[in-house]
Amino acid sequence: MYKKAAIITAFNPYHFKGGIETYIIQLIALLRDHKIDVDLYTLDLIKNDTNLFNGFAEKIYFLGRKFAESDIGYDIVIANSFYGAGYFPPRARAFNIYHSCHAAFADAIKDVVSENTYFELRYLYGELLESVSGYDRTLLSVSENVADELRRYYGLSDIKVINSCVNTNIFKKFDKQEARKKLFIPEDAYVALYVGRWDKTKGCDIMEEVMTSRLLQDIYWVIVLGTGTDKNLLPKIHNMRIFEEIEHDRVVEFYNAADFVLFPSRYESFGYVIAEALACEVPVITTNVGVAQAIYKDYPLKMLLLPAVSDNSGAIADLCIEKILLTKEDIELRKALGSEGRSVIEKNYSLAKWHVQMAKALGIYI
Amino acid sequence: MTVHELPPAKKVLILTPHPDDESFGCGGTIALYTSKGIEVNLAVISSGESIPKKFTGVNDILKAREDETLEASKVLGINNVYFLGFPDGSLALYKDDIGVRLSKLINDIEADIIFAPSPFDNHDDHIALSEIAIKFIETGCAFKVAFYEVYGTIRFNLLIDVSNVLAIKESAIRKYHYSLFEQPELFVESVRGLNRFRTFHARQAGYYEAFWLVSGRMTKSEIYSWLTYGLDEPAIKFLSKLKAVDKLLVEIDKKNQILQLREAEISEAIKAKTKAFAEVSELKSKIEAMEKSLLWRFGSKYYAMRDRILPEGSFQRNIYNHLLKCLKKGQT
Repeated sequence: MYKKAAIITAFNPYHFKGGIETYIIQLIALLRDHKIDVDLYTLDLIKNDTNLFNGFAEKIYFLGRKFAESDIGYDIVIANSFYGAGYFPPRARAFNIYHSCHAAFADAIKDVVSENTYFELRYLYGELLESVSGYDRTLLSVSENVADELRRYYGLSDIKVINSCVNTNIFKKFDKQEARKKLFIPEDAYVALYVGRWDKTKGCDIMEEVMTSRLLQDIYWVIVLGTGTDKNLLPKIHNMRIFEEIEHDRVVEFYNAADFVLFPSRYESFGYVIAEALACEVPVITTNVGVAQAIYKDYPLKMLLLPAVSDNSGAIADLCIEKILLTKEDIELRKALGSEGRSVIEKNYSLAKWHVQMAKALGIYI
Repeated sequence: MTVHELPPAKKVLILTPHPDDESFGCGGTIALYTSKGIEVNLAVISSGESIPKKFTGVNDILKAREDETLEASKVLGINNVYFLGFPDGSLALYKDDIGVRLSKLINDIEADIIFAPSPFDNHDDHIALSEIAIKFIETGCAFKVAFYEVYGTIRFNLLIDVSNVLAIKESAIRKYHYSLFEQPELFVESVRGLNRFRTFHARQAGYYEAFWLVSGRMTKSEIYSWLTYGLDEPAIKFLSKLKAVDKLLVEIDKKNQILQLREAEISEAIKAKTKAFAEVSELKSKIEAMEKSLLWRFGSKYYAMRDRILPEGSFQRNIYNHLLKCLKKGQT
């Protein structure tokens, strides 16, 4: 039985709480439940130097070298994606959890980023850092589509898929009017919610087209902006409220205040927003990315599925409008979509299920 | 292996742990630099006072060795000699102090390249001095560092042909009479052998000094990995790949910026061309308008009308010609 584990990741999950940080906290809880001590190795341990022009890539590599100095004391090491890539080849029993495939991500957003960003994602973070991080480690992926991309782009094999999960005790339905009161959102409005960074990789260009449509003038838009987004980039419309710096656990209040979620992202590895909103019984109109690829296969959820974004973002915007109007007009359909969403998430993406699968994958038997 | 040109430099600094090591390791290269008029400075870290008296016939070995250094320096054409006076045999204890002194000296001299013993030179003082040079590389320095050989060979990337200055080098070594236990000729032979050995790599007869020249920033483990042919450090090889990709991305970014600049220039040029074209069209349309005017039409039909009204050879035409001639004369 293991006594001591190391987790190598980007940020300290107790200081910064994004989706991956929530995942790391769940992982720490799992290990501690099994009486395993956990040490965290994060990028803030590494001072930026000038070994590489790309300071972030440099930190990612040298975090691994730093860990290599003290790996003797650990029974297992679990790295989040390419963080600590310089721990190569690993000497302790090592696991790598892939939260995305950067090469696939690069291809998905190629049309909306600069050539340099594309090359950086595809080759530096993808083909090199991410691919090498898998060497001689047990490979775990957060979704089937990420596993498939890792196989296709890097030729990795023996990837175990452990779907990310939603804490359905936190992400659940509660009183909509209460939620709106708390957030000062008009109680009688038809509320659309967007959660995430405001950039083209997340489909902000499509969002803009939809939000400014004359057909949707009576919709109230609630935008929960992801870290590092400038709110001045958003379209200037009167029926909109923007929320910033919202901790992950608090997003549940916003899901509950919304009538539907719009999520026209160009790439998602898992897509927590989709799963969490569904867990709160809120219909999600989404592109065919991340977990949507698995859960939107059948009706009624399939009705809310948008195709993956190609060059013609205008067509996607039209489809969004069509689906928004469809759900707006039919309250019974909305209810049916919500309850189906909750049921799928509880069945396949619950924290309890994740606990069992992850414990098995890590070799911690209950 | 190709034989190389001297690395370009305006000012050179040689670090020698003791008097005589500079002549052994890079005496030929020093002579080549100074023969080209390039300033060469010598920092003697310890004056080598630890040689037991029984090996030499002098009372003050420190002074004798410093005097020998000055004489050898004169032979090699060295411009300035700096005796730093750290204790012989204990340089490892003073690495920080030596580093500070050398940093200042390098700044004052504005050296482009420094020469230091290799980290595999089997002598504590040599290794200590080498580690100081490695620290410069690790922290990033504006100058290049070349590691030279004394006690043993190293993996190298710079081979300098010193055949033409070998006599000068040997003459400098011979100046170290007391330093070399009153047997300098023995050391001349050893160093000649070391330099001759490199014909193995040069593939041509001659005498060569070998160096590992480092011109960029490297980590300590990268340095040792390079010197040991990176046999057991996959992470270092990985880092070198990372550096290569990183550098390529920067290059691509730079080229893209140039491309954008050129595209902007082309777009400006196209705008200017379009504007000029419009101006030409406007002028052309003015000409066309003029062609359509009554005066222009009269002018263009004048000669045809003249010949019809005043046929050639007619009386009226003769009068007309006469009047025209008079008018022209009047003008002149």
